[in-house]
Amino acid sequence: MHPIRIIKLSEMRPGEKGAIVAFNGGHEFLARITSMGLHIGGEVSVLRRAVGRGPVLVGSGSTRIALGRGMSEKIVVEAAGGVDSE
Amino acid sequence: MNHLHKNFLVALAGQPNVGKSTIFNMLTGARQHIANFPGVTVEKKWGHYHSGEHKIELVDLPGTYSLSSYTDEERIARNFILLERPELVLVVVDASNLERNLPLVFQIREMRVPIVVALNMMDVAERRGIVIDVERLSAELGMPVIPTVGNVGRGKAELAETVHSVIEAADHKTVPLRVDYGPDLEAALGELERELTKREHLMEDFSARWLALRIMENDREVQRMILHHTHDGREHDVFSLIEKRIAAFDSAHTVPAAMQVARGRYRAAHGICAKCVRLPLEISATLSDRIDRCVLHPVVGYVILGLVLYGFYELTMNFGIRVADYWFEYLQKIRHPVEALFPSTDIVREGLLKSLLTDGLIEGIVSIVYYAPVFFILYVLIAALEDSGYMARIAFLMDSFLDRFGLNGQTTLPLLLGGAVVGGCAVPGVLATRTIRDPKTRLITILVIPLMNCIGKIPVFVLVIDLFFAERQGAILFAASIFSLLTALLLAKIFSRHLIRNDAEPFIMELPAYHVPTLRGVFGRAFFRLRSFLAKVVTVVACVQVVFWFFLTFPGPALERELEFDRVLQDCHKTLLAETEGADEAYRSAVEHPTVYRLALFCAKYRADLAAADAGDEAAVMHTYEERNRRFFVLSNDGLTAGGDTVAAALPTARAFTAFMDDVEEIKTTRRREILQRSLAGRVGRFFEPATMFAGFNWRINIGMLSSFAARENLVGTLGTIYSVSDARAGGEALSATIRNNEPTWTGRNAWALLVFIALMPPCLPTVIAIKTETASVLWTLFAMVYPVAVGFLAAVTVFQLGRFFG
Repeated sequence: MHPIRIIKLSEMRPGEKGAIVAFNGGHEFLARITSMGLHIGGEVSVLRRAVGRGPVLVGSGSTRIALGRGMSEKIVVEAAGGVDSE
Repeated sequence: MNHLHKNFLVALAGQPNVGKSTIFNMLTGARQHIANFPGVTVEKKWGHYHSGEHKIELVDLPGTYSLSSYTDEERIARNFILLERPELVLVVVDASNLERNLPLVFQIREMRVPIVVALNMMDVAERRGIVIDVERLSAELGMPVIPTVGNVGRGKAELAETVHSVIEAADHKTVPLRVDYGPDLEAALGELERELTKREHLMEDFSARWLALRIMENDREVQRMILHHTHDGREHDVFSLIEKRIAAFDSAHTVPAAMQVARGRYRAAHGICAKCVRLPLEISATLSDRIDRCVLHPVVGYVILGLVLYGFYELTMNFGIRVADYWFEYLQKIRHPVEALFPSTDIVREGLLKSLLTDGLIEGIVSIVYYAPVFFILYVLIAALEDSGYMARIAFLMDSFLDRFGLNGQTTLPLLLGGAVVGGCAVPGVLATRTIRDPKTRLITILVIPLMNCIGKIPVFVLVIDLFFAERQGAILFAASIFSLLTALLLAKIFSRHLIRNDAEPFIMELPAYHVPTLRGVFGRAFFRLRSFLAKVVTVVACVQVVFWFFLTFPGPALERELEFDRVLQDCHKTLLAETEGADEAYRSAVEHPTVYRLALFCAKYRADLAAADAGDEAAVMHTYEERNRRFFVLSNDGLTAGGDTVAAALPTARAFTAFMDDVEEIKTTRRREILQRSLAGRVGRFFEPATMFAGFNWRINIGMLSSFAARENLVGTLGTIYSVSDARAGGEALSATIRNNEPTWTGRNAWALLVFIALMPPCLPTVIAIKTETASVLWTLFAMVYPVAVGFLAAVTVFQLGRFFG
């Protein structure tokens, strides 16, 4: 098994899965992100990272969300490892 | 209660990408309207349908993930439900993604309004092996749930029936589904509710629980609302109560109240889904994910993007402009009947009313309606890109590049349409900014789009390049477009840093699953958008064109000049008579007073029609005029018949008459130039000359720049009039040669300064109107008009002054 790590969502590797532990942001950030289906305890996986400082493509259930790099740095996850056998 | 023949208001709500508009179209058919919600640029779409004896008015609320008050869309959707009090809200949810959709249903329910749920995209859910127990779901939610597939019309009858029966039902006070937010939060909510219930005026309009929840979620707008409703001087009490409650809760808990509310909703959604939804055991990668592996690939993805953007550009700017040119010929035909209403009575002058109607009004309308085919194709393609889900992928791919300039991925398409590559059009570019969600980014994009190189700028560029560097035309045109693009990006960065201070919304965007767009959805939306835009723009453009016509025409030539023109004309006629002395009387009699006036008008009309005719149609024009009056025709046609035979008897008179007509043409041109010089625009141009000379622009150039406001390509025509080239549009090279001869002091630096200014030219009138439509702000519209002049002028002065040192 992979060791459990508490990291920022922006640090997750493509294919890696995890659960959201905390959001470090204001009310607006919170309202937006939770309304789109990302909430504490929710499962997320990083599907792709755009080139450069581009957005991260995050999957949560059947939702696919592009998160700007700044946003993904504000989300703390408990990464469970597990890179998809792509 | 009896509701016979009544209108009922029903709101349609739902998250983005759940097929809300397909449900809207399914119910209302073609009976729909689009406008903006007052004061904002959020589209309001409404329509109606008949259900039994009732007329149901259906208002499509903007798609929102929640009903907080952080965006215009959310505020509008929420206020509509709160203030317009629809009979019920039809909430569209995505069956394949139910858990994320339910929190919105809860929020609407908390506003105490009856709900019917359309469980849409059932086909997608079925394909993915998701099984939903609809009856159970309906029981858990305490509201009717109807499975639908909007784009094929599945569930239409049942949905309409359910809406009907909910409206009919006397008892609207069904037990609202109550989300349990957990003991701690419920205690706080209970206390707030008790406090709020004491204020009766509030309770008439709002639900206490909803208010309490919004307060705990830190909703400033709701706090303002409560303040609005409190007129008893105890506002302060309410606020201190609110502040105390939130502070007390947050200090006692590690997770703030707002997050606990969100969490409560998700817990409830999760609980309901656990009971009613069976997910497939093995979740295989969906088709969408497989497509995305290609489309979002760091190499393949950009190749696909390049191809799509190229196709887009070809279809709108090449194919679209070709269709528009074809359509232009039909538009031009409006002119003829109007011109025919005002037959010319003077050889050298045109009637003012005729000029106002044709050069002012019709020209103005045609100049915008001309682009209708381009706009239509554009709207169709945008709708297709949106509906298919590819638009969001474009944004994903381009975001990291544009982010550096204070823009974001969603800016790509508008910039491209505006002419990031040579030859766009700012109007569709500005209109396409609707797809940008973040208001700040959207505003900056709108401001810089006019700097791109639109098709109207190109003839202007070509003219100036021909002045001094004709042999390097391609390279300089390319350099100019790169210069525009770089300046636009640089200015975008400056604007985002210093001008618009509020923070850009962080970039967050759903990538919806791919769909095959329906023809109906795409063409329907394109048609409605085109219609509402034209309706708005045509009147304004026509009005402003008329004002412009006035500025370029009045006060007209001085009386002594008019008398002088008449005297010159008479001298020319005397010469004509003297030269034709002794010629064949059958033809010579035609150039005698007063027949010569009719002949001259005939000839002018013939020349104009011949010049306007297409290559193949010239013979037809000749024959028409020959039939009308053979004698006049032969004289107007250098002594030749339409068949090309020389009429020997007519030859001497025809030659002299042709020379006479050339003289008349010269008088006309001189007179037109003098009108322009004396016009209000001419005076303005001269007034600014001392300042503009720092950039090397004399008053002639200034008039040209002023006239380019109506449409940029006008600059060429106006300079043609000023420099007295009779047909400027026909010969660009002739014009640049004339300018060179007339401006012997000009050197390369004049041309460079002009090029720089043109590259940053202020937006034309139709663009200004589009900017006004899209920003809904007079101030920003004025700014968009003024800043390119300032920046462009500074740049031109710099270039011109530096030019001294380099020759």
